[in-house]
Amino acid sequence: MFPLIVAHVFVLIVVASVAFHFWSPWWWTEVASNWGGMDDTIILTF
Amino acid sequence: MAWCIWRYRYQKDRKAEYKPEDKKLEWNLTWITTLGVAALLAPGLVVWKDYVTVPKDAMPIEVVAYQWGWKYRLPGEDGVLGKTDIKFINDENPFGLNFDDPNSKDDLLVDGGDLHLQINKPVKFELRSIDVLHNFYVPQFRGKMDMVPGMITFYWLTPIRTGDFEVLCAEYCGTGHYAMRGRVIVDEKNDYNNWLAKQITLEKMLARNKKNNKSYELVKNTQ
Repeated sequence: MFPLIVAHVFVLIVVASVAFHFWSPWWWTEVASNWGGMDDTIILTF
Repeated sequence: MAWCIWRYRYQKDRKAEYKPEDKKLEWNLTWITTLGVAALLAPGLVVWKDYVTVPKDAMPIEVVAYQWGWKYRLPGEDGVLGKTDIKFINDENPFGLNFDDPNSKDDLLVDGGDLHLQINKPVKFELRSIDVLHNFYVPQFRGKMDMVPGMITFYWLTPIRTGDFEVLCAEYCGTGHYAMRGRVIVDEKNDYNNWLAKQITLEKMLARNKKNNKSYELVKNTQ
């Protein structure tokens, strides 16, 4: 029974963190220079 | 991982296999990890190469950081910044300008005012600090770079939209670090030229100070 609970908690953490990524209250300021490529390299790690 | 916790859970009639070495598995994990890390880092290197390759038409703008604020120096019509030296820095010459260098005569000094940039015109920030480590950072521009006393570090960018942006110091520099703010305003060409015309050159400033029987004194920008 215990492994089943731990497995469910793990799945919940993954789902919650991905959901938080999309619904978090923080956002990037709109880029104002030619360095939009820097944003792309960060998005890539996601 | 969740699946493994469930799949390989303890069961009375099951025993773990002792397998301390598996060359094939280890090599595969090594290669997959290596390729994964390289794939994440390589695009960053491509951007970094652009970041350190300054276009020839980028206008140099000197940013001088101090505890706790920003000063700027722009080249005059010659497009060249005059030379500076640490040994020239004093209360009357906070930029440390070499008055004998002809290139410095038409340099525009912005002390205590906002920096204006022209939209779609590349600029190269040449960064100096007169005291401790600082870092010139405008979040909307993305780029930033440490400013190291005794060195001129640099980066370049092209503003792509007009607006009013906040400059932050991004390297802890003492008790006033949090308040070390400034403003950068990106203008259309006409607005930029109007601002530029209001800035004072070193030569005019020295002449005026001489006339007023003052030593070197920077006039605060009223912008």
